[in-house]
Amino acid sequence: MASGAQRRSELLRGVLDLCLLAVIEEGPAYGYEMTKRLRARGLSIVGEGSIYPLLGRLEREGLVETHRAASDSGPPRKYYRPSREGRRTLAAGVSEWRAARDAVDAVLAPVKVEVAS
Amino acid sequence: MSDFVQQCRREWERLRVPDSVANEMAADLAADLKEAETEGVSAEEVLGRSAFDPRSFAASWATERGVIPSTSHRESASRRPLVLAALATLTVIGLIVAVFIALPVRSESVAMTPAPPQPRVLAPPAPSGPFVLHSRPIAADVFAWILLMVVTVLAVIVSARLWSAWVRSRLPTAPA
Repeated sequence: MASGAQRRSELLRGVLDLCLLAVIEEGPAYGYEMTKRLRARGLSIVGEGSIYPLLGRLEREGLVETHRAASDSGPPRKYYRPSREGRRTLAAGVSEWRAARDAVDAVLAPVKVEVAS
Repeated sequence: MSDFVQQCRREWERLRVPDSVANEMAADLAADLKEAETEGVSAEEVLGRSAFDPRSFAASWATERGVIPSTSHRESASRRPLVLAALATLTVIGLIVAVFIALPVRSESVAMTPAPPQPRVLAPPAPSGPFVLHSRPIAADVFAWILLMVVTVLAVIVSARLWSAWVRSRLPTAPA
């Protein structure tokens, strides 16, 4: 049986690309800025893999567009935003996620959870 | 530049990531880590588990970006010269054998059959024999020669394709 951290890691792995696309849909962002946006929503990647390889894959697959621009602090940064294909992928992925989440919720809903004190 | 970024840079150099791409990734990473440090955020919070394994992190990033082949492809590419050498050796052996077979030395088979019965005259019948030698070229030789030539040509084609793919895999990928 997977531990809590392992299960969380496995669950996140399948949707982290959608989370990245979602946070840059709000506005272009560079790598660390995305990490901050995720953390602000309670999604810490501590214990997970880095977002950089994932950003590399999104870029290779044409799901994001990039441009270099000056940042508020420090040197110019590489900003990412979803491409048209990226937006389509995000929309489709969100639908799939919601369908899967609802189905799992329907199965798990009757389970009574007792929190040990 | 932090030690982590320097280790990544070395790994990208080892993996023959084009300089322009490696410089860009290193600069982005260094800027992000510096900003995180300024805000009191640990490298682990930015990089996750990868913070403890810069080489894997660097290889993974370059692979996902498509600037180097995947690990399995790199492993198969590293074995390719051995396969190529084996195929080349087989090709040479095949060619030598084909040349020897094609030399103008006629192969003949010898079949021994009893002589047709002679009309009896006065002489007593021969106890056994005499035997007459019949010779004919073996069709199998021609077939073997054709087969060898076909195998050799196929080996040459496969070698050429492998060689071409191997050379392409060694060339640095264009920056993404």
